[in-house]
Amino acid sequence: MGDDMGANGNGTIIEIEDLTKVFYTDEVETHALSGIHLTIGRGEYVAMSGPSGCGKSTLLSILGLLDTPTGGRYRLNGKPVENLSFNERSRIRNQEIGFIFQSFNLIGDLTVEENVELPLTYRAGMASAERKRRVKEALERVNMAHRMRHYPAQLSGGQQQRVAVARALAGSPSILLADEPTGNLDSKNGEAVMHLLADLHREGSTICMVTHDPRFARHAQREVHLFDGKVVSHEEQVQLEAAAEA
Amino acid sequence: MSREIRYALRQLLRAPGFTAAAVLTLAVGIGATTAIFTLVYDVLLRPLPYTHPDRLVEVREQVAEFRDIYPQLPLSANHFANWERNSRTLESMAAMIEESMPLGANDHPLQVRVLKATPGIFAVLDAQPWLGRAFTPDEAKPGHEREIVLMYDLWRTQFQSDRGILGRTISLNGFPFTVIGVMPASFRLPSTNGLAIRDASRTLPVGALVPLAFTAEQLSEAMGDFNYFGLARLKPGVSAAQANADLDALQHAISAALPADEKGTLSTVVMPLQQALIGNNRKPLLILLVAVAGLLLVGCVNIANLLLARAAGRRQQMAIAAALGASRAEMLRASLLETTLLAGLGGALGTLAAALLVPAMYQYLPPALRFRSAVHLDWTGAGCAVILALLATLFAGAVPAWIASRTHPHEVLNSESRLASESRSSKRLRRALVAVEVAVSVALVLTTGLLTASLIQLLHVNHGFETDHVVTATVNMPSGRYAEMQPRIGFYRDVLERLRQLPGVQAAGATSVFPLAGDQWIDMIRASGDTRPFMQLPTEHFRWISPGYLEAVHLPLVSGRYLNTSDQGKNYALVSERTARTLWPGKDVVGRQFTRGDNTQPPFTVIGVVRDARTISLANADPMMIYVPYWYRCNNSGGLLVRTRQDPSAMADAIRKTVWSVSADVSVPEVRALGGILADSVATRRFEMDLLLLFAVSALLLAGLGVYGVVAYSLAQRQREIGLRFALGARRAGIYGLVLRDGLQPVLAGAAIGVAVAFACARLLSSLLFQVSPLNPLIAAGAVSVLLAVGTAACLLPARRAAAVEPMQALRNE
Repeated sequence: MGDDMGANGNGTIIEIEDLTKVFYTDEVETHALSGIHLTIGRGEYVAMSGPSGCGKSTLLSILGLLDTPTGGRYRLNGKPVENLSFNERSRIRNQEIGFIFQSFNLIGDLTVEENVELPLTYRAGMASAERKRRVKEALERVNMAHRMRHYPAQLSGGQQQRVAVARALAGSPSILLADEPTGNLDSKNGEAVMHLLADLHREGSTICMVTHDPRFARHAQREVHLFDGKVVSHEEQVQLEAAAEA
Repeated sequence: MSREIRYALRQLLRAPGFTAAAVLTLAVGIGATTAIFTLVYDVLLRPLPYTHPDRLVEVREQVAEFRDIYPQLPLSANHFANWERNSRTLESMAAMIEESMPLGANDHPLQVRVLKATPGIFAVLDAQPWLGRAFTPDEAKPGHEREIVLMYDLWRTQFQSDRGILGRTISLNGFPFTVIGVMPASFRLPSTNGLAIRDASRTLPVGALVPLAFTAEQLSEAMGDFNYFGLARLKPGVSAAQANADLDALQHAISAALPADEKGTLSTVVMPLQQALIGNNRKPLLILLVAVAGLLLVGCVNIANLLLARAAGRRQQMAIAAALGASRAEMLRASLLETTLLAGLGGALGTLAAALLVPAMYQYLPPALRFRSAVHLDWTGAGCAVILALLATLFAGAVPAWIASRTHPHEVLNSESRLASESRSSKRLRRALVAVEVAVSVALVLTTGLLTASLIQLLHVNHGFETDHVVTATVNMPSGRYAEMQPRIGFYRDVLERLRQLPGVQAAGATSVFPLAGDQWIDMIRASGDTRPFMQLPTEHFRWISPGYLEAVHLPLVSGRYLNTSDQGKNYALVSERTARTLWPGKDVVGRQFTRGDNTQPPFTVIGVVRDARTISLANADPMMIYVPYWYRCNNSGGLLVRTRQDPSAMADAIRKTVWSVSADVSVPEVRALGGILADSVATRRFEMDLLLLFAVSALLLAGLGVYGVVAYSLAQRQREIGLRFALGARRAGIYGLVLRDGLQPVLAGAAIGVAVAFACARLLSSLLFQVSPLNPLIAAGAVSVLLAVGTAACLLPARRAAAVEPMQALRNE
């Protein structure tokens, strides 16, 4: 799946070098991310885990071009993206990235179909028939095509998240970024969503998921552990967490 | 309850911006509506300040043969005397005429308005002097009419409230008058503005009453001059229609007895005095009332919208209250209490504003509407404010309170995961409310646009003369010294000669009536060779003028020549083009002769034809006009006109000094630019237009605020949605488009409704418009464009804020 940007022949989608993110508030510098190096290859399923406040959501926002890094380099499909304009970032987000949020973020006034169609409406020149085809296809992939005319309020949490996944898939992005996709779901619905992501991965999707739940992290091929804004090994993470608790 | 009031107050204080906006909006709406209601009530509904005012009627005459030109006429002395003797339905009657006269025998006397009335005036109005007595029928006979009853204000200001004034002789109009009474302070005479032929100039209140005595000649004229304002008191139980029938029967008898040459069909119009005084002003006043009510409606809609937004914002709070066991009635009461407090505060401020507005508005009132003493806000007005506040509470508060009370706790408390915090029905309602206020605003703007276009048309109509650099001065000669024509002719001649010597003066002349200041003299005329009976002769407007008058107002000559000073004593005349066309169609007019209808006086010879001009009213077609020289006829009251190269405002002193250098006992009550008289002639229209403009601008502002409020609130609720749209690839221009589309949808819907409503009511407006169709598409498009511009402006600020949303920030704020 995914439109190949064509610049990177080796199949790497995300390439990050020495990435930093610093927040400045009232003369206080908070180093949310420090010297992150990360590569995600096409078709990979990566889970980013770590305790609350470790910087995983910040990293995901930067990966999703929702935020800009303070330093370092970020290449998406082989192209540097750290210094793009607002509208250029919007265009790339629309075409290359699919978001799945913890709180679904479906628009209450729009039907399921309209919610899934929304990112496609921002693509200049895409015909309405093509949009409808893609929406139908995406909803069928998550088994929600029968609820097309419903409003989000008429769906359960698990169903809403499946619609959100369909919305992320509809644009055929290079990568799916999922931020705690099970965070607002009960364990049964959480498991169902994780199975859905696993199915998508098997079908070729590249997925980068943030989660703090080790059970769900294990669904991924690879786990990236973050602690205090740095990438650490699993052992280091366990030690650091133990030290912090002590 | 006191706890709930405390709680509601605390809620309002916690949102000072909302509270101030709501209270001020209500104060403006309630204040303006109360003020206009007070004015409308005072003019249209409040009983006149006389005993049994419902029995007071005004009587006018009708002559079927004149009806095309004059549908109604004032009274003829002879006919009045006949009715007074023979009427079975009228308890008392009075004929009267208002004049301006110099008071005092010293130099530069004070000019006062004097009502000359037959003695019946005291019985008709059921009023007696507070000091002294009224005049008797014997004192209203020619040669005996030298008694005067002072109005209270004149007595207080000019005679220092001297109680010993009774029996004293004072000089009025150059004659000695004996003061026999002073009217009570509260007494007001009805204005004679209601006369069919009216003096449109600005008038002062009447200062004194003197007897009106008809001469034997007047009482013997079969037709007579229709000069007098007639007032009567109906007998108890008699209706105006019955009195009308009674007088019509008398008129029938008078008609039957008319000589063959003056045969005419006479009848009367008897109408309640209040209705006569209101005249044509009922509709404009009611339109103003509707317009200001529209403004209040827009204000209430705005507040309803704000309250709906608050209700949506407080769903969580309501849900918790409901979850904790609050009943629907309790939640409804709590929400309504807040609106009641707002309306109470707004109503109090509005009443205060109205109390200040009403007297100020009275000062600005055009003369036609100023037929009572000064208007003040009273208990009726205050009651109106209270009712408006209650209505505003119900209108603005009921629906939001109802919606708030219907909060379902489980829906609200479990809706965190969806990007909507306001229900679709509430959102639809808020948009519908915006559409309503836009509709009212468009209707107001459209109406104002039509009246403005009408006034502009009126002011730009080719009136045929030029007002720039022309100064006018009214002069009043005391009748004593100037009882005969010769001294008056001498006065005008000398004054004009001296005025022409003043530096910068290009032309100077005198006239009976300034252009657009009314109409005083109408007569039948007979062109030489016309043998038709008197009643079939054409009616013409007459003005006496001096040489230099037509040059001063730049009324162009079509053929022949103007009057000049060497024509003195000759019966020459100039006629307007329309008169020339009507009397001598297709013929050369110069040199032709005519007489005034009765054929008893020497004929006039036409020496020139002047261009038609709207000298009586801007709105009416050019009248048939005849200008005769002042040495043929001139009155004690007249007008001087001076065309100057200098600044006209610098001429006033020079004109006064010139007049007084000829005769110090001639008063010059008013010196003003001719342009001012033109402006006065459209004062009522301008008053209506100015008020409507004020309401329309206020409504526009409120509508703009309404749109802004809805859009801004909606976007505040949709921060996360906007963030999400950005996350999914939306660009800034797209968000601007989204906001404008959402914000302008109800504006467009409202504008369409507003235009439809205004067009549906077009018939009501058409009689107030001049050369402008009430269905004018350009003005309608203009009104819609104005609303769209206001709506767009109101959307842009929130749109800018929305476009600046940082997607990550918005999505993080869950």
